[in-house]
Formats: sequence, C-alpha cells, structure tokens
Amino acid sequence: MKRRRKRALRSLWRRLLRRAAWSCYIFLLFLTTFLVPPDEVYGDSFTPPSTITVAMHRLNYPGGGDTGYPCELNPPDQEWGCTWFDRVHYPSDQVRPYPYNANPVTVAIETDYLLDVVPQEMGTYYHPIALQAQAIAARSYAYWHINRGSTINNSTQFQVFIPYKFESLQSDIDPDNPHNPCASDNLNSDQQIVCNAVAPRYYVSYGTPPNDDLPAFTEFFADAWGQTASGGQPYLLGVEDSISTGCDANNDGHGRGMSQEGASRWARGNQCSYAGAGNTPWSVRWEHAEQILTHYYTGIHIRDADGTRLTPKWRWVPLEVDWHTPDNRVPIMYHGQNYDVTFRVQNSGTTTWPGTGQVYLWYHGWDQAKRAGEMRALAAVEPGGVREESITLHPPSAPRPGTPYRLRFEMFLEGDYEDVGFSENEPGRPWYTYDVVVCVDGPCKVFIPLVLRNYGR
Amino acid sequence: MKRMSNLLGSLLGLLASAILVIALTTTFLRGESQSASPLFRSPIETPMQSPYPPPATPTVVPTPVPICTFTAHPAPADSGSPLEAYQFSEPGVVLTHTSAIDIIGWLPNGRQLLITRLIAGSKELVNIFDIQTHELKSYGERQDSSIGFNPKPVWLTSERAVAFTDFVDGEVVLRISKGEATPAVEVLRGLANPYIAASPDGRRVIFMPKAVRHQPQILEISSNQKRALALALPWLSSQELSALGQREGPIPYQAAWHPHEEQVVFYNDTGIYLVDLTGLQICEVDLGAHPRGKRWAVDVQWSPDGRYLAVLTTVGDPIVPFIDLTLLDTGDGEIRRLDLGYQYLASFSWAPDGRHLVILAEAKREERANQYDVYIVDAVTGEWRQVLTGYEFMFSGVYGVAWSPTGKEIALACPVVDPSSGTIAEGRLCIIAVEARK
Repeated sequence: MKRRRKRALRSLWRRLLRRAAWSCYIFLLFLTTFLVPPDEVYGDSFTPPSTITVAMHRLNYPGGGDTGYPCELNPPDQEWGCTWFDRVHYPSDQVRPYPYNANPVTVAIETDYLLDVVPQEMGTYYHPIALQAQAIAARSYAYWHINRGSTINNSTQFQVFIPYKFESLQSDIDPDNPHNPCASDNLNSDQQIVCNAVAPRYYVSYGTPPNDDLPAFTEFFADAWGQTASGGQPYLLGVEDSISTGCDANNDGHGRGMSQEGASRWARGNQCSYAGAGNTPWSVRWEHAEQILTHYYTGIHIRDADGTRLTPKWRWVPLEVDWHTPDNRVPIMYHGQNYDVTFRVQNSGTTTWPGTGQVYLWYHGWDQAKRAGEMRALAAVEPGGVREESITLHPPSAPRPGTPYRLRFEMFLEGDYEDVGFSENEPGRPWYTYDVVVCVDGPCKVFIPLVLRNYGR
Repeated sequence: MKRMSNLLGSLLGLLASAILVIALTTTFLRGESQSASPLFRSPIETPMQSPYPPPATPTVVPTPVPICTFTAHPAPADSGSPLEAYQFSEPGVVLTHTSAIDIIGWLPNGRQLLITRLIAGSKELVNIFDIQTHELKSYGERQDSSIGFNPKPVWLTSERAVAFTDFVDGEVVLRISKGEATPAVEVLRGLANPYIAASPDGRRVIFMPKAVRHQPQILEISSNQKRALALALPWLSSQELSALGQREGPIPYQAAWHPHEEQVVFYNDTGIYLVDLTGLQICEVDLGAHPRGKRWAVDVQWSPDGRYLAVLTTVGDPIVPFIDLTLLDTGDGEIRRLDLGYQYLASFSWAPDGRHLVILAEAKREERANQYDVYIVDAVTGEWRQVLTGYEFMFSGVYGVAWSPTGKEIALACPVVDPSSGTIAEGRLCIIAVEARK
C-alpha cells in the first residue's frame, strides 16, 4: 500500500516537473513569437538587385582559375573565360568574341549572369530540383557580394561566369529572344532546365531583425563524403549527409554549404548523383529545393524576389527511413500486427527542438491518435542537428484485403489544445511531409509503388 | 641471242614478281598479326635513324584502342638526391615587364630561357632571355596570344630556331624564327589548333591539320615537307563522350615527344595515346578510374630520361573538379597519383635527374586567392615537400615553371598584382638557385 502511494507520488512529481518545463517553454515561445514583432514587419533592409558588375578575366583552362589578365575590348577577346566559344576549342567560323563593350561589365542577373553561371557551376545532367537549389544558392551568393560591395570577377574565385555558356548547352542553339533568353521559343531541353531553375527568383537569407532579409553567403562545393564542413558563417555548419556515402560520393571541394552532388542525390532519392553514375536507391527523396537548401544551410530562410519570407521556422527533413525489412521496402501490413519504422530526422528549421518531448514524429493515415508521450525522443535538437525517431504502426482491419493506405509522416509540435504538424504550423508557409503508400491485409490490387517517397505540402 | 635475252628477262621478271609477292605477303601477314595483338610493348627499342612512315592513308585504329602494357624494367639504383638534400635560395627577380611573362622552358645550354611576354592589344613577344647577361633576344611577335591555354613555342635545337603558332585571319599558322637577324617565316597554314611539339633533335614538328584534326602530321623543318601519319587518333562522338561522364569536347589533341625515342604521346579530354612512330602502333595509357568519369590529361611531360610520364589529370567537363598529378613509370607500368592535398595542381617541370619534379599548387581560393605554393616531388617514392614557404607566388601556376637542365636553377613567374583590379600590374621572372647536397 505504502509502495503504491510512493509510486503514485513519484509519478505525480514527474508529471508536475514535465508540465512546468513545458510551461516555461511555451512562455518563452510566446515571448519570441508575439512580443518580438514578426520578422516580415522588418525584412525590408535589403532590396534584391537586378544587375551585377563583374570584372571579366581570361581563365585558366580547364580549372577556371584566374589568369590575372582582363578580357580585351579592342579587338574583342576570343580567349576562354571571355567567351565560351573561344578560338582554341572552336573552329574559326564558330568563335564568338567577348560580347560586352565594357570591362568590368554590368549585366542583368536574371536574364544574363545566372543563365551562364548556373549550368557552368552544375551540369544540367544533375536533377532539375538540385539545379533549382543551385540557382538559388548562386543568386544569394551574388546578392551577398553586391550587398557587401565586393568587386567580383568571373573566375572560380567567385562564381564562374563565361559568356555564351547558356548558348553552348546541348546543340549550341541561339535563343530567339537574346534580351530575355528564357522567353525564347526555341530553347532546347538543357536550356529549359536552366530557365526553370532560375525562374522562381528565390534567395537565401539569414540574420536577425531588422536585417533578417539580408542575403546569405551561400558557398557551395562539389561533393563531401557523409558530412559537410563548418566555417565562416553561423549558417555554414557541418551537417550529416548520409545519402553521400556510396556510389559516386567522394570529397571534392571545401565542404562548406551545399554539396552540389549531394543536392542531386537528395533530389533523385538515390546515392548516385546522376543517372549515368549508377542506381543505388535511397529510402527518401526530396522534391523541393527548399528542403535541400535548409538541409545544407542551417537556420536560413528562403525569400522571394520581393523579400517575402516563404519558409516556416519549424522545419524538418527525413534523412533516412528504416522499415526493418530485408530490402528496406515498406512491408505489406496486416491488422493485429505491429510494424516498427525508424526515421533519422534533421531539424532543418530555425528553432531548437526542446528536449522535453514536445516535438515528435507522427503520421496521418489510419490512426489520428496522438503519440504516447513516454515514447517520444527526449533529445534536444538544435537547428542542423539530427536524431532518430521510432514509431510502431498498428494497421487497422482493411475493408478488403490489399487496401492501399497513404500514410503521411511529419514532425508535430505539441500545443495546449491541439498538436500541429510542421506542414501547417505557420499559416501561409507550409512545409513538406513524407508520404508512403502501405498495402494492408494483402498485396494491393492495383500497382502502387511500395514507397512513393512523396512530399506534398 | 635475242630470244635468250628475252627468256632471261622474263625469268628475271618472274623472279622479281615472286620476291615482291613474298615480300608483300610477309608484310601483310605481319601487319595482321600486329593488329591482332592487344599488347603494346613500351618502351620500344627503335633505330636512331627512323624513317617516316610512308603510307598516307590513315590506318584504322582498333576499337577500342588496346591498353598499353609495359615490360618490367627495374628503376635505376640511385638517380638523384633525397628531397631533404635540396636547398633553395630566395627567388631573385631577373626580368620585369609591363604585363605577364610566360615561362616556356630552358634551352639545352641551361643558361637561356624561352619566354613570351604579353603586350597591349593581345600581342605577345617571343623571347630568349639569358639569365647571366640578362640579354633579351627577340624571336618574333605573336599577333594574337592565347594565354591561359599555353600553346607553347618550341625550341628547335638543330635549327637554333623557335617555332610558334599564331592566329591570322581566323587561321592557325606556324612560324619559325631564327632570331632578330631574320624575321619569323610562316611555314605552314591551316593547323587545327595552336599546339605543336618538336622532336628531341628539333628537326621535326608534329601538329594537327585543320582538314583532319585527329590525324597528326609531321613537318620536316629543313625541307619544309609535311607528311601525314598513317594513323587517325580516336575522335569521340557526343554519345561516346557522355559515356565518359562528359558533355563538352572533344578538345584538340596535344602531343609530347619522347626525349630519346620515336614515340609520341597524344592527349586530349577523351584519352591519352602512346604512338610508336616507326611501326605506327597505338595503345591507350590507362590513367585509372574515378567515380566521376574517365581521367584525362591536361598536361603531359616526359621525364628527361624518358622513363616517367608526368600527367596532370582530371575528370569531367570544365570547370573540372580537380587537377592532380599522375606519374606513370613506363619501366613497369606502375601508376602513382598525388594531389599534395590541393584541389588544383598547376605547372610543373622535371629536374634533369629524371626523378624529381617541381610543381606549383593552387592555394585554397577562399583563403589565398590566386596564390600558388611550390613543391618538389620524388617520382620514385611519391614523397613531396613544400619549399619556399615564406613567399607569395601570385598567378605563378598560370605562367609556368622550369627546372634548368643543369639542375641548378628554377625559373618561375612571380608577377606583381594590382590589389584593386586583381590583375597583373607587372610581369616578373624569378630565378631560384637550387643546391642538392650529397
């Protein structure tokens, strides 16, 4: 009897302590959310520029290093770096001299600079979503330098900008609208990929109000095995890149910020960065450039051309899913049985997940019940950090054998009245879920991919 | 009598025909057995006086080109000093110029340097500079320089002349200059690209003609006769290129002539091929695999004794992800790969001992943009050592380095940079004295 009373008391204390910790957290959250004005009230310290001034130099082939020699204007230079169609690599009738009448030259960012920079920095054979992330990173990098008043050149010291690179893609087609190439009617598929990547005009911002809309120094590099590197900026923190641990993964470049090949792996859901490199499927795939960018750049936001913030503060990305099956495919599930699934999740947002269990992984599909508190992971996760989340699935009795169910996984934030998924935590700024189709009580009658790896807003 | 002589004539004719048939049969049979063989032995012992290959019709190169195999020859017991034995002086400026100075290489006397100097309007002076007297001799003027690609002039020992290419009216021309006394003479027009290579004796220059940009031709300098090699190098289609992990290219072939033998290495972004000029055998040098595609050669230099091939290697399309150094020992086929911890290695040059190299490595751009670090490398052991650590060599890797044939000097570009524009304010040529303690 005494023992039972003691246990009850201990349990009561535990509950009180948890409630107290949670109240403190909610209070702090209230302070930061409501007393500090929302950052879109600020966020007007930076106006995205439309042009960029670049010192144009001849470049060292094939590494793209600076030669320290400026492109000549008279006669217009025909060397590599001043033009893609240089006279050493192209027959004389295909050579195109340096196209500008000034050096340094001021060019339009969207309709000139980025169209040559993006395909130069990342081949169009990589996944289009990765190229979209690349375009956003390249734009942000340019904005950062403009905002800082840097004098930049066209070499690898900054971003490689070689005139006519866009025109050289695939079959060397000249866009029929030279002033706005992406508005042309005769683009080839590679050029269209670049145009699609550049079109959203988003950029990466980082900062504290009122300067939270300032562009970030979005360094990027070729590839890193398993982990990126830290350095230089608070948002350039080393992050786990578990998809880059096989196939064509290797260490190329400084390792800070976005891994270009890693980005393509996440976009493909494959450990091989492009189709030609092989095929080693991974358990998750990201379908949005925002997921890639918030994974590699810690605590940043994505903004549109007007500077409006598009991303919520509470974000996550699944790095890996373990279905505990031999081939790691989603098993056919039967009612009355339990199925464990383990997620490796990253906090890709701007807010630390508290270590009190109020942020947890759950799913919609057949069971709307809240996850039991005592099962929640209790490790605090700072932005950029990673932890494992395990869930046991209890499939319902299907109306007929082989009924497909769509399960939607996401991180939830515990609220006073209702727990809210990250996908709808900030009105107007949705985030992405992880969707899977599960066949219950037998194989599905119609063909449905076992893992859709789909992310809907 | 007349009938007798007719009969004798017919008999002699028959005999001659029979000899011809036997000779032809033997030749063809040998040709068949050669082309059937997948092996290419190298180095090949070749006669010093080599004839030109007579046929002008390109030989069909076997597809795929067989991979070179090398017969085992042990390395010489002691062919140089250990790395620690080398001592280097401070770099001393021996020549300045208003723009970039490009170092091409030393003349065999170890006292004069072949250099080019950029002048306004994209022109370039071809000079020979005496490091002792500081005398600067003019060997002509390129109307249109190609700095950054480094299509280097070549010294023709036998002619005591310099051969260099130039762009004229959209055409690549070859000029030969014997110095200030006689103006440079245009000897050839219609080259496919500005890259040339000279035979060790300087009597011949190899180039690619515009008409068939992958069938090399040889120009005999003294007679000004050109002759096509009966060999067409592989020229890959875009589909074949994409199988290598590339979308751009192929880029023009360059060549490096073996210092003692009738062998030439041809290389571009699709492959590196060793061609024996006497028997016109071809094989592909396997530079090793990389997850991102097939390795290709950016620059190739034979060691002075011809045992090693030093190759700057990379993968993919420009901008390439890295440039490292691949050392191939043709004595046993062993490959050694070095990156010295850098993303991009740049210019390099062999020491006369055929064992050591000086190499310039591009410092990390975000930390020390456009600066190059100097290393010496031991090709036998694969060891390396950074030297001259206290100096900032700006852009030096772009403009070349050369270790003198005496082994006592290293020449490298050491320009001064205008910090506001990031361009070269003054071109400089530096000499570093080298001492190897025994």
